[in-house]
Amino acid sequence: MDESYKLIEEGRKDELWAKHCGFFCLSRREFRDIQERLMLEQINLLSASKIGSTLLNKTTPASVDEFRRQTPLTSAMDYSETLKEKTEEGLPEKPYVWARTSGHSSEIGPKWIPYTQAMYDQLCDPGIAGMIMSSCSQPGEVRIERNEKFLMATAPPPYISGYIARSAEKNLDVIFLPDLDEGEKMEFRERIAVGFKLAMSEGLDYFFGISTVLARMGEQFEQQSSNSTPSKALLNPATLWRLLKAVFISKVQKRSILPKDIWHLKGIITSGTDTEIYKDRIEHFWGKKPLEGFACSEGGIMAMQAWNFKGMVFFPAIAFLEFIPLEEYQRNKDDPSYQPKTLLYDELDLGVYELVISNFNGGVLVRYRLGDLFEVIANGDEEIGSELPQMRFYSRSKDLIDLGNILRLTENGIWKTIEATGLEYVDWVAQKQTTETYPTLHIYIELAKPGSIPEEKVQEMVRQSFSTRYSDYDGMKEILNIEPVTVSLLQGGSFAAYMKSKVAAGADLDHLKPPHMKPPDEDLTKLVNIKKESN
Amino acid sequence: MYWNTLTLTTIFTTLLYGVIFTLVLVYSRPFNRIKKIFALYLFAMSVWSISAFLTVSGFANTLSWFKVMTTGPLLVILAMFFFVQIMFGLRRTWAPYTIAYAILVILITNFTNVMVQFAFLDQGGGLHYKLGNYFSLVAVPAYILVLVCLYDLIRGHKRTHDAQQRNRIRYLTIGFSITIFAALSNFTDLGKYPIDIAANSVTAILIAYTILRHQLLDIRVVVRLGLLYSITTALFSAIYFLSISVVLNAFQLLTGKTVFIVSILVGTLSAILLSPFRNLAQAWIDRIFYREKYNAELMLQRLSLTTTTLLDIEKITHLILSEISNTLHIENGAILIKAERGDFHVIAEDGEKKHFPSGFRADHPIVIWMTKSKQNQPLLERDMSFAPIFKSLWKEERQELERFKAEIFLPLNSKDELIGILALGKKLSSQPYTQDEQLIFSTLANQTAVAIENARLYDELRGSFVESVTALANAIDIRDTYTNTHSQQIANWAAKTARQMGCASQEINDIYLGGLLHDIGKIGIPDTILQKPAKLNEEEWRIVHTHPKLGAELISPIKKLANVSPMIENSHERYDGLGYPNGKKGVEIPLGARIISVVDSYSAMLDKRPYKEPYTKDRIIDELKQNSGKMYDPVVVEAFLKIIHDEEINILS
Repeated sequence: MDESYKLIEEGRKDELWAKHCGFFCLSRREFRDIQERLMLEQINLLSASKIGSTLLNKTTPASVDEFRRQTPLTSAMDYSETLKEKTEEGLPEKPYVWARTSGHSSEIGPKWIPYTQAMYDQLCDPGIAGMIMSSCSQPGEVRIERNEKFLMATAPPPYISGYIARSAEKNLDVIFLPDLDEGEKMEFRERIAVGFKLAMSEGLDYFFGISTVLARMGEQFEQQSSNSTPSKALLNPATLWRLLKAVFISKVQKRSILPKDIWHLKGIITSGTDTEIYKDRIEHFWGKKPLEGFACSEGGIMAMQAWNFKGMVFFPAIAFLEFIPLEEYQRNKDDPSYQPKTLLYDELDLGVYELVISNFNGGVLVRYRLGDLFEVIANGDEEIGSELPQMRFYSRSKDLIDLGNILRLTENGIWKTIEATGLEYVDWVAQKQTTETYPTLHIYIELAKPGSIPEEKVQEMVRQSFSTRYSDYDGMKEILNIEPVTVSLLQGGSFAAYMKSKVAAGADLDHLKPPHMKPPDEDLTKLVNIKKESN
Repeated sequence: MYWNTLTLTTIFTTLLYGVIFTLVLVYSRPFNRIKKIFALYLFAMSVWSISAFLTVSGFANTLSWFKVMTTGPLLVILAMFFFVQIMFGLRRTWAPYTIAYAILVILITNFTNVMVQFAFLDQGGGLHYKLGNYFSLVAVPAYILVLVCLYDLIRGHKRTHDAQQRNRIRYLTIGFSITIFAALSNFTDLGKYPIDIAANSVTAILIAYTILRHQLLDIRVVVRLGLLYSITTALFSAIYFLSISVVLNAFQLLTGKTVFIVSILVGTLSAILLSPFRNLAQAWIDRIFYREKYNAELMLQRLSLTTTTLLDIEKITHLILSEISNTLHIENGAILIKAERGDFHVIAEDGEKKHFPSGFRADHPIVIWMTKSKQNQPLLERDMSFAPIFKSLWKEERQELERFKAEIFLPLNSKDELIGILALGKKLSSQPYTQDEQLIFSTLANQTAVAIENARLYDELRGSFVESVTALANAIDIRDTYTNTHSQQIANWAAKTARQMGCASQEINDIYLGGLLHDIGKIGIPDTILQKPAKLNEEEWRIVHTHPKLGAELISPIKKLANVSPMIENSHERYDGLGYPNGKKGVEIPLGARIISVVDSYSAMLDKRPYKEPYTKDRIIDELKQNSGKMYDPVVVEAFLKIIHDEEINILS
């Protein structure tokens, strides 16, 4: 099999497109055939292994249908021994690497996911698809060249994003800023800073990572005065040229220098709920719309938007995909002994579903509930020539806040509602609280300029925004005679102080900030009181 | 304005580049980096041609435009360099400095007289110029860039196994080389002729064809064909010229209309007379210069003749594979055919590396791909790394394919149904298959599919015939109370004995059918006699003795059983001539009948009858040996006993 860089080298870009983006044009039947065939191989591998045989209830299903009927759904608890301790014994295949999870959504905390050589080798395939699609404007257009400059604002190995970078380096000959060996030794912030510094002299073609990084950088550029003192970096002709060009553009357009004046990014690939919030700002700052993907430690990059930046499409050969319809999900939530029925990707219709995955290529996870909910927003997309379900990330299942079966709130929904108020804020958290008889939502916000707006006013603005965005909001208020949303302002610097204390306590990257939705009581108390205590 | 070859050439080249440049700008979409650079290259070529026109036409200041023209090659080289860099995804760190070099040279050349000392046109429009002493020195870096380009192109050519990419690289290499080497003429006295500009026209056509049309022809074919037809044309032109000269000399004609008329007459006559020889000469040249294709065509002809006469699938497939191996020198090959459940099994393999997987499942991606692509399209190994369907290949399947090192798979389609797959490994030369060869394979695949389908249909027909005959034999056996598989058993033993005696496959087949039908005449024997639980009386024996003749008469109208009928009629004759119905003896009795006689006796002795217990094996063997040369043919007895012996050993082991 030809590596992707070879295809670029030989000018076989149409083949590169087909290799990485051809799946968009698969029919639903073809998608299913690929899935079922790979699952059959996986069933054979599982049944020959100790753990697999246990998960399969000691039987070897003869077909994928039989497998779905006989094998129960699993969660992290079912693998606690293997995944906590990196136990290789009894696995379907020897792991090549172990990927660490943050432990945010798992009942057993951080865990280790075994990746076989075959799983590892194809980690970068969806990433390359993302690179192609983030930089093209029509099907078949491939703008990737060899030795593209790539800045990756994600965690290093043993996190899966680190392995994706390693796999991409091998398959695509990309140049990481900074070099992966050096960058992996640095702290996150330092790595990003060094990366952008290098990008000043070397140029930058692609960005992969958290949207917040790009949005914050853009804001910093915008707020920067033009009277900055010259630095030694300007001695580099390439840096000087970029800056001169940027100054010229900004002067012509009578505004501050923006990153897009310095770099002409070919593509931006991001994952996470914040993409939806920051996408317009990123486009404004960087001149390029971010392409959204869905990735998880349990399977790598699993879905990606196409070049029209609409719905995400799942990749066919990464994991076996099953979806629990929302009604089944609710029924199982009410009665945990109930085994919810699943649908296959090709069977999906508009609606919300919980994702269930089974690893291919000798992985260990079987019918594993990731805890992520997706929404099918369209049954195909004519614009990209795809008949596959077009998805968007809906919510983590544990983050979903249900207010009296009337309002179903997601992180994204609340975030957009706060954004719509026009408030300038640092960050926020939301907690479901049960007051008297009915549950309500309590939002804690830290304003960018503390004390600039009174708490009551902020609360009113947020409530008004809820009322506008959610048609059932006023109904709920009326029927139950309650205010469904309460807002409290946090003291200035609360989030910074919280993060500082977490860094001091040695928390890893994923645990520095409190989660937006349903933060643990302990974390919420700490966030609310941290500044009060220091005062 | 001067009208001469020089100006005409430059106008032609300018127009050519203008058209191509416009086409690229208007029609080439998406207009990506490589296309932009290509457009830049065309622009540089246009500048070169326009400045050349303005220099030699006398329209404008000759020296100024000569200077611009002198910088033309540099711009072209630079565009070429970046074009090659992008094409192969290379990023040389020093590449940006070449732009600085180019700017510097352009400035010095155009704004000083250091590089070009003077340039003017004489009254006849002839160009006179003198290059500066440092010109060669400044040109050196440009020629280094050319060498780098050529190095990259050659390396790219070596690395790729993609026939199209190789062609692209070949055209580019030729095109660039023509431009650059023609530009060298400017350093010599030849500079006053438009050699470089004319060469640019050739390059323009070559490159435009390569890039914009994605180049579908194999350059080797084009060049060779051109060469071949040039040789015959040159050869016959020489003959025509000689004939005309001889006639003109003979008649002492040197001037006037007569020369013209005689020349036409002699030329036409020669053309008519030499026409058959021209075709012959062309065929010989084809044979000498175009051996591979010539051999492949011969192979197709041979296979077309032989495969239509063969009806044995195994023989056909082995023959095809060995022909391909010998003609095209490939490492290995295999033919798979569709089995009952839709799976594909290997029926023939050839070559030293026989590592082909035992077969493909019906849901194997290769099978699915071929079923979906209806146009007999070959599947190249590299196609499997990008078509999404091949993502569903199992690890084991991948490894199997890698072990076999299959380079190309060809669907064998018959009536829109995939009936087989022809898999071919690498060529011994390690060169990729050319498009010409792929075309030959497609023809071959069609031919193979037809041959396999014919053989399969014949097998099916034969199978249903044997099934009908077996059903008939079973019907007779059911009337017999002793055993209802008697005829089948006789047929099997008889066929084995015939094989042991070295009979041909057709004869074995007839003997098998003879064994099945040897008792068919019993259809005319009453049940009271056939199923009598006691010994038969004389009259009853007489009636029983009529069954061989009756059986022979019964099947004689069936053409396909023409050879079987005598076997049935004589199956109760004795070797010493004391049998019935005709009392034939020795070799007068057909071999099949002699075999059936021995096998039938063996079976009768082995069976339990109401009037006798079954004989022991030893006793039967003794009986056969004692009667060898009397009742039975000794050669048949010997062969049959060997089979019985081997079967016993097999059972014991």
